[in-house]
Amino acid sequence: MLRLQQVHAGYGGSEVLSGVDLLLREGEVVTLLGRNGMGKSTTIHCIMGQLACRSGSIVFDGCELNDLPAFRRARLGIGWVPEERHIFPNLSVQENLQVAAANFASAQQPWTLQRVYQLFPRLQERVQHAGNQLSGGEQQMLAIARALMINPRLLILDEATEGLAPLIRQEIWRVIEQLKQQGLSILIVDKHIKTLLQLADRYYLMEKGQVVSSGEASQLAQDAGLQARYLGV
Amino acid sequence: MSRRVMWILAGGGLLLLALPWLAQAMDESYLTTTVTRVMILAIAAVSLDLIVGYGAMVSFGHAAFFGLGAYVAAILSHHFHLGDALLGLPYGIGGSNELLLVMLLAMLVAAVVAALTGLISLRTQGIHFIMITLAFAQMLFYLFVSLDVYGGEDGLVMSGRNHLPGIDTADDNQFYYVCLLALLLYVFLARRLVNSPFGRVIRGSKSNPRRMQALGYQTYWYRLVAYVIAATGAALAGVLMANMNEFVDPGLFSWQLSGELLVMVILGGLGTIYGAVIGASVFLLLEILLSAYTEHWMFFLGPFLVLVVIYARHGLFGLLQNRARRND
Repeated sequence: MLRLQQVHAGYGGSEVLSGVDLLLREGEVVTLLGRNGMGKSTTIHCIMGQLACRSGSIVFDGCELNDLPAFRRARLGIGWVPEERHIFPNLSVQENLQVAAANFASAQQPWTLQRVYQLFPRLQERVQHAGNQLSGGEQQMLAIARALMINPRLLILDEATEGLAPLIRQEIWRVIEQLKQQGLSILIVDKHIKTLLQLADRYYLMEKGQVVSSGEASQLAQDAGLQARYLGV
Repeated sequence: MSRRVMWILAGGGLLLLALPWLAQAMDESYLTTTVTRVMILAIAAVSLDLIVGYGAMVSFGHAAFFGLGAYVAAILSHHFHLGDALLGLPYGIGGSNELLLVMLLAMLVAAVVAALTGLISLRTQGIHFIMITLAFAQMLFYLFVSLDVYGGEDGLVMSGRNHLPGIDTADDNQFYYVCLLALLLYVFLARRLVNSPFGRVIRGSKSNPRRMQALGYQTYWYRLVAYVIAATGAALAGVLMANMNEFVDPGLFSWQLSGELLVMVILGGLGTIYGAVIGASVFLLLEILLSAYTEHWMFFLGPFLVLVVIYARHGLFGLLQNRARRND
């Protein structure tokens, strides 16, 4: 479904990604791991068209993404929950969701307002509140719900549980688990390695802009040496 | 919006409705023409609020579309009364004196010009957008200064107001109600627009255009359409202003007028629609009151604007809403 081959990218004069290879198959949950500054978010920015690749190829469902602007990538069915959440502060909860749905009105629409409210009942209680009136956890729920409203075939979650209270974090993990059960393909970056390795099917470990290890998530869960070496766990 | 604010707005609406009678009763008929002017500029201010307040497109050339609307009305009227064709072309279009047709044509001309200039200016942001919109407005200013056939620097006098079936537009009271209806309709449509799916994209793009693109929107085209819609509103106001004064001159394109429109919007409260109406009213009221004492009235308006910006960040309408909320 998604394949990155020898992707190079960076900011200004510095190269952050130095030939990243990654494969995500339909229905899989793949996690991208690594310490801070190793290129995980940069990889996601390249996939979403927020940062131009210097070389290499990113193919989603047979379509070369490097040729497409950011809005076309979203229309292919890639939902993205960015690290900073980027809730529209001047739109209400409902408007934040509607604005995501409107662009995909012609598609078959399995994700409706009712369905996302079932997934996040807390959002339904805050329907008319503006985005900037929500707590961090509620904003994160809204960011995920909004990404779902575009009916993604691939959902990319960048640090979805960062800075959240343990209870809210559990709630987010519960939802991601539920989405996995429903067969949604997910690429996920997070710092909670233990939970992540229980959830993911496969992993990619990044070090200095390159993938240094990949395989079954269950294998990495048992490999304390690898975790200590690259993740400091 | 709180119930108290709604009552205040409704009270303001009723006052506007009764104003010509009140002005006549008080033998102060100039009030009717003064408030007509306020309402016309309020339409232009609301149209500017659509792009500045909701889309963060700070245009410093909005008067260009106001001036275009006014000139379309004056030029069509000029050719209608002369009985010749536009630009002297043998098979050209003749003039017109029908207000509704003139409004439509003025909005169309403004839309075309806005689409062409917007295609370029919307590729920029921030200070560059401000400067490029100012540059386009100045180009039109000098174009009309150089058009001697339409009065050049001296402007063009209209031979009476445009015709509207069933209404005597020459009568100031009746023309007042035409402008009031235009303002109410425009405010209603502007509110509908900003709350529509299209409006949501514009409002979302204001805070984070890249995020909106990541949701599948090509924000550039949405912003362009909003810019064109705002231009048509300014042109509508321009047509009414030309009719009110029965005169147009290149000053209608001036950067000073663009600046005044911006001040009205900021004074009333960005991104509120009603705020633009309040801002236009207060601005012109202050102009009338202060200019009675000194020709340097802007000198006193400046500190007032500074106080509003510091102490009422959401403008006068925001202040009104906050007070109403506290009292509720």
